[in-house]
Parts: sequence; structure tokens; C-alpha cells
Amino acid sequence: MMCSGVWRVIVREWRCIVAQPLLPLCMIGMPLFGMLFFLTMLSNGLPEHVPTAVVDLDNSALSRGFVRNLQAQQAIDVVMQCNSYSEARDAMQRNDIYGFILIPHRFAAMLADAKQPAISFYTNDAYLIPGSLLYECYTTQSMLVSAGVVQEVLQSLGLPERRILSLLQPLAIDSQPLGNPWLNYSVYLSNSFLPTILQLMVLLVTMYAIAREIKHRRTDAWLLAARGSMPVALVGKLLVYAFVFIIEGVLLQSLLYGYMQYPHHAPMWRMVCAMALMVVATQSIVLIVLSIVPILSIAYSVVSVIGVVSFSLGGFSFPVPEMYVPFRVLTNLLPVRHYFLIYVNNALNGYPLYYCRGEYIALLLFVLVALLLLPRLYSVVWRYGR
Amino acid sequence: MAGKGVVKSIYRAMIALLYYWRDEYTRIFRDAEVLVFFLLLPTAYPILYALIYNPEVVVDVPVAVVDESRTVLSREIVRNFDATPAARIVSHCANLDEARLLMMQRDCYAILVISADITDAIARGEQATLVFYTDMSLLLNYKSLYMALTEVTLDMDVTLRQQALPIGVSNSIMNIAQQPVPYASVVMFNPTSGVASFLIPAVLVLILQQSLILGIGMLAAVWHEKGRGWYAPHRIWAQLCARTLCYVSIYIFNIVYLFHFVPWVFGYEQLGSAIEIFLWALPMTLSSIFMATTLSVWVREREYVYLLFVFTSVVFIFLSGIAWPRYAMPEVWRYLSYMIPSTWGIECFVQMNTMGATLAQASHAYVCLWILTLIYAATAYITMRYESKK
Repeated sequence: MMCSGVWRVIVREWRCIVAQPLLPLCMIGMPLFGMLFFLTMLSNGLPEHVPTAVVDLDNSALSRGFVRNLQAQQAIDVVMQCNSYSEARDAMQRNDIYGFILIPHRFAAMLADAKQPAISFYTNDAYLIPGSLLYECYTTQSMLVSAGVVQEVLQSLGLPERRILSLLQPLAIDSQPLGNPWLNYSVYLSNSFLPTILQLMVLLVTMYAIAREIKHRRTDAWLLAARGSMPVALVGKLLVYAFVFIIEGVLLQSLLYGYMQYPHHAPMWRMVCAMALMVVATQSIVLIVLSIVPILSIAYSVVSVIGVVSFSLGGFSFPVPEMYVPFRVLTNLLPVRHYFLIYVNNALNGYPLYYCRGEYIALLLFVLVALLLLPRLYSVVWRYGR
Repeated sequence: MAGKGVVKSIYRAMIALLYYWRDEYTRIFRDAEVLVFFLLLPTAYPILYALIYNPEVVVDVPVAVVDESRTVLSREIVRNFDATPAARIVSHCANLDEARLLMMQRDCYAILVISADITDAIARGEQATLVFYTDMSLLLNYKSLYMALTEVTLDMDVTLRQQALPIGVSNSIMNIAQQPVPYASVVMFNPTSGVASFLIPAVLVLILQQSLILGIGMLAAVWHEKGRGWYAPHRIWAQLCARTLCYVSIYIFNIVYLFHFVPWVFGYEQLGSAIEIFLWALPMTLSSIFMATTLSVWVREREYVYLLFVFTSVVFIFLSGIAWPRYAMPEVWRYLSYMIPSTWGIECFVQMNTMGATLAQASHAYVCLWILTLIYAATAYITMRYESKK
């Protein structure tokens, strides 16, 4: 009896979906486009070959050797040689280069005189990612130059070769970036932004699926298909979308961890469960919003704001602990934030399940709250949708 | 006689223009949802985003230390690292397992391991290694911590090297052995490397464009829903001009607010000349209006606006090249980005406002913006004709 009700709602929903191009576009087209877009856009992992310039005022064998070494770095592409600081600055303001290095006049001579000539480098942090990449390269390069000189000085003092090598850098850092040793941007952006895109589309599509019935006053037909049972009507409707979005979510995960070979150090079911829970929790948010705000235009705005702000409040680019307290509290209301933490704990770091139990429960709580508000939603649909 | 006819038809066109202009105002101010997009969205969103990113930089990231050495040297390393703005030592753990437990509980994001023999190694003249494990969920955390630790060790290297030199070395040799080529690093246009200073100017431009796309889409939806054709079939140019004048006049407020008030309130770089920024805002607004008019042909119902256009913001901000530089994009996306006003708008605005370029220096993006304005004006005209004939 109940099953047949659910089945009829499902059939009715599929008829609606195929009747117009909008829903297939938003349900399938946009998320797939998002995956294609981000995975190809960031496929390099790092924005290497940053266009830069060199202002070599010295033009000695030493400085030219330095420039050659700089050019040999994979991250840098020296696209121009400038004659002065102002010329390089002008090129930077024209967006031709993202940074430049200035070797002062009489650099080699001063170095020979032990006068400590300084190399200056300028990076444009108005573009933060290439700017910081350049900063790293420049630091490494000037450290290498220093090391070369120190080596000569120490040799002249008669120190043994073995000691010289260790004296170049007495304290070394053995850095272990856990899970992402390539510092690949795509690993961290695709793993956070693509689920957020999925969340945005779940929010909008679910909203549309329910609001459409209310707006066109077709709730009678909808409830009729469910034999007058609101839970059956809702389950049937939401199942259709949950099914499609969970399949897309699993497709996304298989693209990330299978095809792209991004780090995945946990049993597969944990991430699949997290994805399924995120989709259902997101649908619950729509139900919660609709039962609190029965005015459709406001409800649409609210879910859009939640969907868009998630990209920032999710704490993928800027860490949540650094945000102001009200925002830190709000992040807990975003399913994708919990999904992201589950991803970090499981796929990226491979921690035991115990340490992200809170996130799974939080995702379930969304569903629980939606269930508690169901009577209210029922009256909203009944009052406005007939 | 012919002259009189021309004057008369110009007069009629002007009257029609003014009529449509007024008509458009009524339509906008009667619809709360359109007003939300035209006024509330551009006013509230910048504040929201600026507040989210207002802390700008990552400070005091919790770090656990496993100090197996417990010597003067190891304590100095820990002390110096703790003193950097980036790191905060939250715990001294007995062993790596204990530190790892803290990391799993998200009480720390990195572990610094100082092995038992570093002081001995230094005394023997060997290289000592510090092992540094970082959680890679956020690259920003990793970067600031790693940079801080590098600076600490480089600093201490200088002293350690000096101590290792034979007695009786002259001062100048001592200096050059310590640091022969000092480097000065100058971070330009965003001196603190802040996230907000780099992201918000781009977001401001995107908000201008997206609010127009959403608002104009909503206006179109209202007309489509009422079942009438959107446009009267005659004087399309007058209608296009009237609408444009109407939106531009409303957006004068938004432009001042977005590009002067918000950067001033939050203290972002404002190096550009105000007049040149207004000169930039004109083609930016026009091209957005015309693109929005073109896109609005697909908006059949109010909800379409949300379903179709909210998603585009994410794509447009990435196409703009502010986050992922344009030289690193695959060709397809680079060509697609050329079609979007916000790409050139963001480039031009960041150049002038953040990097202090003159309009002449930013002329490439500026000219592209005008070209897009012309192209989208044509498509908007075609759209309106098509719509009016239905």
C-alpha cells in the first residue's frame, strides 16, 4: 500500500523531470559541467611557469648565472629582462608579470669585497597563489646563491669538505605534508569545491521540486498520488532526487580517487556514506527552510545564500578556527562542512572512524530536525499549495 | 520640410524613451524580489564576505612538539617557532603517538619532531634534521607554518655557522660566512598577503555583474509568467536605451558603494584614481546589463533565475583568473573566460584599485570590456527583437 504510493509519486516525478529541459540541466548538466570544469582547470596541480622578469643591473658572469639558474626552475618563466625597477613595476601593473627580481649594480664586485650586496625580489600578492609560489622560488634561489658563497669562504678558511656541507645548513627541515606531498591545489580544491557545487544544486533542485507543486497549486495531485499521505509524498519525491545526486556524488568520488588518483586512505564505504548523508542532509535543509519560511521567494533566496556562502564558510580556503565566532557557529549548519571534515579525516588522512563520529551524527541531525518540523511543512503545503 | 520630419521623429523617439524609462522604474520598484537583487544583494553580500575573510591571515595555528632532545638548542628552536605569528605551541608531547592523537582530535595541525641527537650532531659538525608533519587539509595553514619554521631555522643557521668557524677569523669574513647575500623580499600590493585583500576586490566586481544578471532575469521572468510578450514590437532601440539608462541610474549608488565605500570601510588597497574607476565602471555595468538581457531569454519562470544563474557565480570567479591565474588555464576555459565581462572587469579593477595602475596601463582589459559591451549590445538587441515578435 505505502510502497505503491511511493512508487506512484516517483513515476509522477520522473514524468515532470523529463517534461522540460530545466531540471535535467540542473540535476545532471551543471554538476557534471562543474566536475569537468574544475578537474580540467586545475589539472596542473600548481600554476607553474609563472611569468616573471629580471632586473639585472650588474650584468656580470655571476648575475647571469643566477638568472640562468632561476630560469631553470620549473615554477618560473622569465619572460622579460628589464632595465630598471620602474620598467619592471610597470610590467607588473600591466599584468605581464607576477613578480621580478632585482640584482643590484656591482653585485659581483661587492660580493667579492665581502660587502653583502642584497638581492631584492618583488612579488605581486594581489594574485595570491602565483605570488606565494614565486616567493618560495625566489627564497630557494637566493639561499642557493648564499650557500655557494659560504662554501667558497669556508674552503678558503681551510675547513674540511665534510664539515662545509653540513655548515651550509646546520638545521635542516624534513617537511612531511601528510597526504598531499605534491602540494597539489587540485587535491584540495576539487575535494572541497565539487561537493559544494553538488550541495548547491541539491538545494536548488529540491527547492524547485517542492515549491513547484505549491506555486502551481498542484499539491492535490501530488498528495493524491501518495494517497493523501504527506510523508509518502515527500519520500517519493525526495528519493528521486537523492538517487540521482548520490549517483553523481559517487561518480565524483570515483573520478577523484579512481581516475585522478587523489589520496584516499580509508574504506570506500565511509566516503560513499558521507556523500549519501550529505545529499539527504541538504535535502533536509530545504525542508527545514520551507517549514520555517513558507514564502517561496524568500525560501529560494535563503537556500541560494546557503549554497553560495558555503564556498566561503566551508573553510576550504580560509580556516574556520580563524573566522569570527558567529561564522564559526554558522559553519556547523552547512552539510558540506561536515562532509569536508569527514573527507579530511578519512580519505586524506586515514584516521579511525571514531574521530569523525561527530560529523556523521551532525549530518543525521539535519534529517532529524526536518522530521520534527514535518507537521509544520505539511500545514504549509496544505495552506499555500491548493 | 524634410528637416521638420526628422526633428519630429527624434522628438517622438525621445518621448518614447522617457516613457519606457519611467515604465521600467515602476516595474522595478513594484517588485520586491527585483529590488532584493538590485539593492539588497549588492549591499549585503560585500559586508558578509568581507567579514568572513576579515581576519586576513592565519595566525597562531596550533602545533604540537615532540622534543626528544630537551637541550638548550631544542628549546630555543621551540621558543623561536612559538614566537612567530604563524605558530602556537599547544602541547609538548612525550612521543609521536601522543602528538598524532592530538592531530586526530584536531587540537593541532602540525607536529614538530626534534630528534634526541640534534645537539650532539651540531657539536660534531653534522647536519641536524627537524621533522615537520603537517595536516594538508588547508594549504594556507601549511604555507604559513612552513614559512615560519624555515625562517626560524635560517636565522639559527647563521649563529650556528658562526660558532663553528675557527677562532681568529676576521669580522668581515664572519659576516660573509653568516649571510653573504641578504635578500629583501617585498610583497607588493597586498603587503600582509591577506586573503580578503586579494579576494574581495574580485568578489565586488562579480557581485555587480551577478546582481544585474539575477535582477534583469527576474524582470524577464515576471513578463514571461504573465504570458505577455516581453517587449513592444517597435522602437527596440529606444527600449534598450531606456532600460539601460534605468539600470545604470540605479547602479550609480551600487558602484559608489561597492568600489569606494566597501574598500574604504574594510581598509583594502585603494590605489586607483576615483575618476578612472568610474570610467571603468561604465563599460563594466553596460556589458553586464547587455549580457543579462541576452541571458534572460531563457528565464521562463521566477525560479529559473535561481536555478540557472546562481551556479554561474562559482564558474565566473574561477574564470576570472584571480584565484587560478589565466596563464595556467587550459585553452578552452581561457577562451570562455574572454566572453565574460567579469573576467576583464576584475582584471581591470584589480589592476587599478589594488595595484595602482593607471587606466592606460590597464588599457588591454579596458578595451576588451568595451568590445564585450558592443557584442552584448548586439545580442541584447537581437534577443529583444526575437522576444517582441513572439
